[in-house]
Amino acid sequence: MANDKGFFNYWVVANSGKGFITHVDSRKFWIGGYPGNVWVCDDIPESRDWGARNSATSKTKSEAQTIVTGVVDDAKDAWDDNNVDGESAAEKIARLGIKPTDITIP
Amino acid sequence: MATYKQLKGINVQSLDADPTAIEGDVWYNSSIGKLKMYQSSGSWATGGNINTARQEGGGNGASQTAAWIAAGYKADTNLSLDNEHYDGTSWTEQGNINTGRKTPSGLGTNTASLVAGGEGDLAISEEFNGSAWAEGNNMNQGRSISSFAGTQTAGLIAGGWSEDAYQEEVEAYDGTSWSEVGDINTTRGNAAGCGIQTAALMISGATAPLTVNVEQYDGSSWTEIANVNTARTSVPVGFGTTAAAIFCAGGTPSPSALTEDWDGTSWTEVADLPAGYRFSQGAGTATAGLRFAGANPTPAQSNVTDEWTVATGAETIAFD
Repeated sequence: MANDKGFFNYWVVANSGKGFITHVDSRKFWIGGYPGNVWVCDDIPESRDWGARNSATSKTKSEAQTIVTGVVDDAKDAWDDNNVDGESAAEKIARLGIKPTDITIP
Repeated sequence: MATYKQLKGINVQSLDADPTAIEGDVWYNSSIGKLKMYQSSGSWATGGNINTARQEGGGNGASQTAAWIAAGYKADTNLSLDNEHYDGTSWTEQGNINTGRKTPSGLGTNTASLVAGGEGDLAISEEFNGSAWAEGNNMNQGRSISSFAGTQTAGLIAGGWSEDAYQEEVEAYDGTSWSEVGDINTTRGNAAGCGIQTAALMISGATAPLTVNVEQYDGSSWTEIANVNTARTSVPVGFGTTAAAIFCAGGTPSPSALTEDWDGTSWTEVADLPAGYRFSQGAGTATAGLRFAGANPTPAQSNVTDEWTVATGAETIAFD
């Protein structure tokens, strides 16, 4: 386990669908999903069991943040490159939504 | 410190077993030496993954175990024709829609679906009868990112984006033709919607800035009601009725995991989604609903389904 985790643990695992997060999980601990299949959980035994159950890969906070930032940066580039001739800024926002913004994980 | 009796005028009952469930009841279970209460609370869990990940599709459904999604924007940046149904466990491919499109309105059930409009001021509507899609009559105004409510034979589409601007116009569908009805008060698009044709909510969305405004339709006119706590755009999700609804996801502008509960009077923040999504869809009721597909961040299309369930149970609130 990394030493920069604080009160959270950090995982990377793809959402496998039904049973990945159960109502029991949600009631027992906070879990937040971020781009790049990064998951941040309250650091308690139940969330560590959740990570093991889903064969999640444990990460340090900085490793997890790097993954999230990389995905967001790619999304920003894709947003910048997605243009239609003659389209105004307002029209682009209506079409694509607002440009992705930086995400800082807890 | 005040006692329970001083606060409530009654003593807490001491019982040797948990009583019949009544929301808010508090009692002391003398057999196990614990103070307990009945309370209901909602939580999210993941459902089955959609076969074709997408954002900005059309989707809806009658319940947590009967929902659909059609069209949208796929991971290969192509418009999707795919149509899938959810049964509470898994998504199954159905007959393709005829016209691929982004950000249409999706109304109705698995066996009576309606997709109308879409990006590029599309006015085309299509109807699914449980086995195949057929073209319906065009809307009067082509539009996208509208708010919607109702069914295939009694639908409502409000606001949205058309002719390079947000719109205030509302159209009702009777299963055959579209007719203009009373305009919304605050011109906008990218709002959530829920309810039926004669009792609908239009929730938050974007004007130029984001708006917290919520409007309720009674079949003839729109009335402003209590605001949501957090304004959201980029197709947030609403499901339920004018008396009990859930508002979740969308963009603040970042993908939001926030969930708000409407009790007919006010909006209350409840349990967050496991992750935030923009441009997703929803279905079901305020006690058993769904949010599915979307993007986090744009344009990372999602195949994730989240199930919202409110459960009532006896909770231990203090020990002996």
